Amino acid sequence: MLFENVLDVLAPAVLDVRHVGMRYESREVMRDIHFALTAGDFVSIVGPSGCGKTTLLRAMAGLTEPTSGSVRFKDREIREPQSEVAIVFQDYNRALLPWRTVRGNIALALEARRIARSEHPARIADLLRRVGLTRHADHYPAQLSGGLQQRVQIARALAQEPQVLLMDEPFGALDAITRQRLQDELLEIWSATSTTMVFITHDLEEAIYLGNRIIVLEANPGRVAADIRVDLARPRHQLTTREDSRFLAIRHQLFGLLSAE
Amino acid sequence: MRRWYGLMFIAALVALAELVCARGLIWSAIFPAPHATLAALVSGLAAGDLWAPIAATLAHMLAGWISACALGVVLGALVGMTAFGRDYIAPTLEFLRPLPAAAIAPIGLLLIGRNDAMIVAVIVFGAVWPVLLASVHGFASIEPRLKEVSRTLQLTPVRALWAIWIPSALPEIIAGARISIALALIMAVVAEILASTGGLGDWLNLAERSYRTPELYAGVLLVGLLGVLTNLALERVEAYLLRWKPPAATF
Ligand SMILES: Nc1ncnc2c1ncn2[C@@H]1O[C@H](COP(=O)(O)OP(=O)(O)O)[C@@H](O)[C@H]1O
Ligand SMILES: [Mg+2]
Repeated sequence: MLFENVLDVLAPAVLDVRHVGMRYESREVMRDIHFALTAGDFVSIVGPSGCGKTTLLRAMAGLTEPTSGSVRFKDREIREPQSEVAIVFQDYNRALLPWRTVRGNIALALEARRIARSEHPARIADLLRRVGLTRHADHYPAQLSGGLQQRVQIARALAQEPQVLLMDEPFGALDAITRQRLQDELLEIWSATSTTMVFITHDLEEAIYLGNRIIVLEANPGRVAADIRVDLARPRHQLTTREDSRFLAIRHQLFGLLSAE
Repeated sequence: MRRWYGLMFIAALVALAELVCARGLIWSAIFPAPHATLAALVSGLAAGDLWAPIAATLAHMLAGWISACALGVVLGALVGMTAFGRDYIAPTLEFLRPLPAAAIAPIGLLLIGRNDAMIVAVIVFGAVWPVLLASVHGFASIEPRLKEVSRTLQLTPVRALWAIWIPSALPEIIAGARISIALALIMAVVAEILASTGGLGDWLNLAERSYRTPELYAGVLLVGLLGVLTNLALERVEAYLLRWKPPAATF
């Protein structure tokens, strides 16, 4: 207990997941999930499909209320979505407004924050540049590939200027090359802002490549199986980082944890 | 080239009618030759007799249609989006819907009298259903993920309505509104016949009673023309408002 408090002083928790459990009728989906996110951290969450990753992320976003335990953002309990906590959904093709252009979709987050219209163009231009969408500003989502659509969703989430960015398998449906490019872009965005990142993936290598910390979930019911520090140098590099012996050691460890079932 | 085939077919039918009439196969007091109808149309337009009925019918139809759309979208949003609307309003609508608007018209005559307000009221009653049902469905079938986007961005209800709900329901609303405008024209003519206070319906009625058959057919032609033109206009509006839609798969 004392130790926890010392840590709090050194690196205050932004998001605190406290003994969270979730039941759907008789089915227990999550049990006693407990961890805290430190400001500025990049946390990957991995686990077999159906172990409750999406349910956990939705609880952290305030979209669903857990049946036991609580999620706290700074000093307040989250029951409804908070403007400081943004979420990027897995299904980008449903999460964008098809009737608005890329620019218009990003503008939605600015409108929500009541930012003066006169400031929109400059802010949108900056966001477009950060996610590499400048050339597509006036395209409608239906005209874009999956990778570009997911960039729009990320840009919209960034337009919220959140303190925590929650992402649910954001690159899951993309091809390998697009995926690697987006991973690097995301790391650049992360290092340029102080946003705390939570990144769900079922790809173990992606989890290690991106994260400072990996929370491993096991299924039935979803529980924390391990909480692993990743001490790989930054900036990371698609080839050398993945060849690093510590990378491989963590990969072995995760593989062991997830194939134990 | 293909798009002209339809027009060529109509021309062939007109030529056939002309031939049948010239041969005296049909009594011209019932079915005048197309050239007689055309002559009546041209002289009616040239003398100015037809402009007032055209303007009146167009005004009735548009006033009724716009009111029907406004009512349909508001009620549709209430029923499609809220539990209150679903529980309290929907049953009444289900009861009213099967009533033929033509049966309501005499009640309108009784309650409101022979005037434009009665005509517009009858049009609204007849034309509201397609746009109303389409709106209910449009608002009810919003993508659930977009509701969550709205929650995570913490949009105010008014902003969510304009930015998400209305555009999301718009394709269905427009499809309903296009059916409604066709009904509005039908109801305008029916109500004008009943009210006898002007408009193409009244013109048709008077022409029929005094056996001015070419004028009767000229009026019918004009009603049809109004239908075609309003439909074309709405097609344009639809294409503009839904320009974000990916082109549908074509055969
Ligand atoms: N609304 C719901 N009602 C009932 N069961 C649900 C609901 N949402 C999720 N589940 C169940 O909870 C489990 C975890 O789901 P989910 O969080 O989506 O897992 P993951 O994202 O790890 O694949 C699954 O078995 C799923 O069937
Ligand atoms: Mg999931």
